[in-house]
Amino acid sequence: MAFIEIKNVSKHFGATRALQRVSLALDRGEIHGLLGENGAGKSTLMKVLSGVITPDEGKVVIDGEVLQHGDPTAAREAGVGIAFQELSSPPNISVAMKLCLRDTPKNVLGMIAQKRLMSHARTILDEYDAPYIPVDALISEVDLATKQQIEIIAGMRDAKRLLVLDEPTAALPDTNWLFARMRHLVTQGTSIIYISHKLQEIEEICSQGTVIRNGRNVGNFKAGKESEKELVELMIGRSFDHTFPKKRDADVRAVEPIVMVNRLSAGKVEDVSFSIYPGEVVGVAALEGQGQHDLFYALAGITPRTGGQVQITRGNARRDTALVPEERKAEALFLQLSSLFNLTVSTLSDLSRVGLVSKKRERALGTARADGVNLPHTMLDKPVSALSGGNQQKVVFGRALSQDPACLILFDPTRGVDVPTKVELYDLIRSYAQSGRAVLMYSTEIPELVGVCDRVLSMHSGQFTGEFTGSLVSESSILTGALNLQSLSARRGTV
Amino acid sequence: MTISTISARRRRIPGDLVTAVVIFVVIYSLILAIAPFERNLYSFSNFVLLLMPLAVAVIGTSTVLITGGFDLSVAGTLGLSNVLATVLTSAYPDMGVPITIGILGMGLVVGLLNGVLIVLLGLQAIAVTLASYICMTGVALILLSAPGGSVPIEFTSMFKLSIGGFPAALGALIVLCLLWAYLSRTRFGVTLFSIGSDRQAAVISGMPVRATEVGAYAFAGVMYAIAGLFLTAVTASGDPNAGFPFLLTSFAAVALGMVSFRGGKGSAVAAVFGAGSLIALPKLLFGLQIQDFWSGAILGITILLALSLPLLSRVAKRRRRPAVAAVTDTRSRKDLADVE
Repeated sequence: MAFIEIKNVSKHFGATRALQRVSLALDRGEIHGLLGENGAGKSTLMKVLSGVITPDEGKVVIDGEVLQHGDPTAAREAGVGIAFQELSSPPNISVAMKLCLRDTPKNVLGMIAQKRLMSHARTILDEYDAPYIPVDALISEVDLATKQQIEIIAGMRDAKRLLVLDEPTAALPDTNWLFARMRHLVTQGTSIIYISHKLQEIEEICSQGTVIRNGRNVGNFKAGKESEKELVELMIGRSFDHTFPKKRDADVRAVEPIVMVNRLSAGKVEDVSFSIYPGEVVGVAALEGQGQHDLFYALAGITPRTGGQVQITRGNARRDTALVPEERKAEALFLQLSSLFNLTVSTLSDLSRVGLVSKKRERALGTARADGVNLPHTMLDKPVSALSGGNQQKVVFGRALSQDPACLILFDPTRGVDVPTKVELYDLIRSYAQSGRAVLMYSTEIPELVGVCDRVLSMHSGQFTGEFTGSLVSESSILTGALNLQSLSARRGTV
Repeated sequence: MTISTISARRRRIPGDLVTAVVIFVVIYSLILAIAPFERNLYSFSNFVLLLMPLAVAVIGTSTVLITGGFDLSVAGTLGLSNVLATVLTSAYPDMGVPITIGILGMGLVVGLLNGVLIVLLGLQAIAVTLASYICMTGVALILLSAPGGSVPIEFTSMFKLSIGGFPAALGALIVLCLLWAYLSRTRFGVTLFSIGSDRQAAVISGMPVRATEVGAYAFAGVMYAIAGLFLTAVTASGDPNAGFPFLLTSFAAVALGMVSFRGGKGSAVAAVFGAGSLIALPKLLFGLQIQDFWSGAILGITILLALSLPLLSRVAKRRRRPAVAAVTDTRSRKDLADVE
């Protein structure tokens, strides 16, 4: 009998069958990859394991003990640790508090002993080889990657028997630390379920894995046995060519640029200048927290500018910019409202006459926009919260495109998006540029920048460190710029 | 990270509290400067007694607001507490202490009921607490159909006790503030703030979210009951509608105390100072010989000014920054060209 056994677990929400008799078995100390499109049932399975939801049938056996369903405390006591992709820390508690939620040091009066809490947290961070994280900072004060790291450490602390990691590298680009910690954890007898879209990572860290699709097991694989293409086809259930759209042919920099940024300062960005030309997709490559967020959000008019000029030649475009933000759920979508509403809300003036919103026009326009981003019509009347991550991102794209911006600003547009949707998004990005507009894009995945962008700027400490065009748009050269050479060794002592 | 920077950071006093205290100190000093007849212990003592009902009530209101909840039952519980105290002490003048305990129990039960309906049954906080306000006002009307009744002096003096000229009520208020400061440093307190900031995250983090939320409403209920007792001591009579003015003033005081209505931020101690400002403001206007009907307008403007203080400081910061950015002349377009 396996160490961890998930047996015939089923769960449905209304008419949606999220899980249908899914089974999985892990040996002690095994790292098991879990592959599947968004909406395949991975997160439902994870919520079953964490005790957040009760399955309709099936059971989970951990080291011979049957897990009591629907009770997060019981799951934790059974030694199940979870690092959620939707970051689960309240923003106004300290990092130390998050790490010590279940063993908070108290004084005789029952008050939290801050000094002991801090030193305890520091011990934990040292133990997990992340001493550079400030224990006294509030969760809201640290960047996304650090938040994810804290989430993972908190999950690992609970994980005496099983750890579930949900797309940890979506927000944490540095896999060295993560993989080292995972390897250390499995030597202590914990098994790990590793959910990711990144096939290379699965290959690197997992000994075997399972592919699920539409809530069912559709296949198992051993590391190194299947090709990337075979796995992707297993995930999406059809043949599929994993390619990027064709780039622009000629260098059109002779014409006037659409975006001219002159010595812009905003937040962490200091004195940055660049231009984007019509038809061009410009990428920004950077490690996490190098000012790319402030740069993009300043161009979109959100982060206040503290110096410099931004000049955007609007031409026949409707707006200067439209932003696809970093966190679609928090920053872009009205989650409880329908896709139709979300697709059309940015351009209410198109739908209304003398101030009244016409439902008929809303539907006509929304349907056209759904077609524009390949969103199935059946999704239009569903609340956006019920859509998979990939479809949600299509809604965000549809809305940004509907504003017809002179410059489309994309901040990590494929984060937490399944592979087939990613490819559709690449096509959308390219065709928008081809219509004579400018696109600025940041991605945590450098191969994506290489595949999509005509030109890539690397950024470090709020400044550009390099510009790469044509054949120079390659992973190795961009990485050199993003790492800014010598600062690398100072950073974490890793490559 | 060294230990010294950590402890320095931890001792940082929240800006909200500072703002609330400064506003109060300014208003009260102006009163003392303008009105000579306020410069004595007797006037101060009166001020404290007048302040007590509102000050205690806002400790409850702000606790609920910090969890991201909402509580209109303040007016109902406070009024019912006032009526119960009047009716019961007139009937049983010797039973002051048991009656007090019973009324605190009433507040606890009402708060628990609110909490259970809102948290466990998932009903809307505004609707539930509005209903319980209306319901308690109704019960108060049954018990005492018109304002009046007489409260025995033994009972009122219990709350108006003075020690060497200093009102014991001030001590009680300080104790309540310390109690709140203590609670906010326990796990209960951390959970309270976490819920208000991101409830879902608090649930996933394994915090006892529902128990804490119910606890907040129950705690608030007890505070409203205490507030009603102090009101009874001041007025020495009962009024079934006594709670009504508190419906708005408690939220005004909370706003002056810079407690966030969105949850997750604020301090009940600051709200107590907000209540102090609110009670002191009419005195100041009186001292300035401004007619009474101006007080509403001036109060409103004061609240708006207080709320915009953080905004003003942010604007000031932004003004200072471009100068710095201009001086640090760093990489520009030319450097980039070199890289190419």
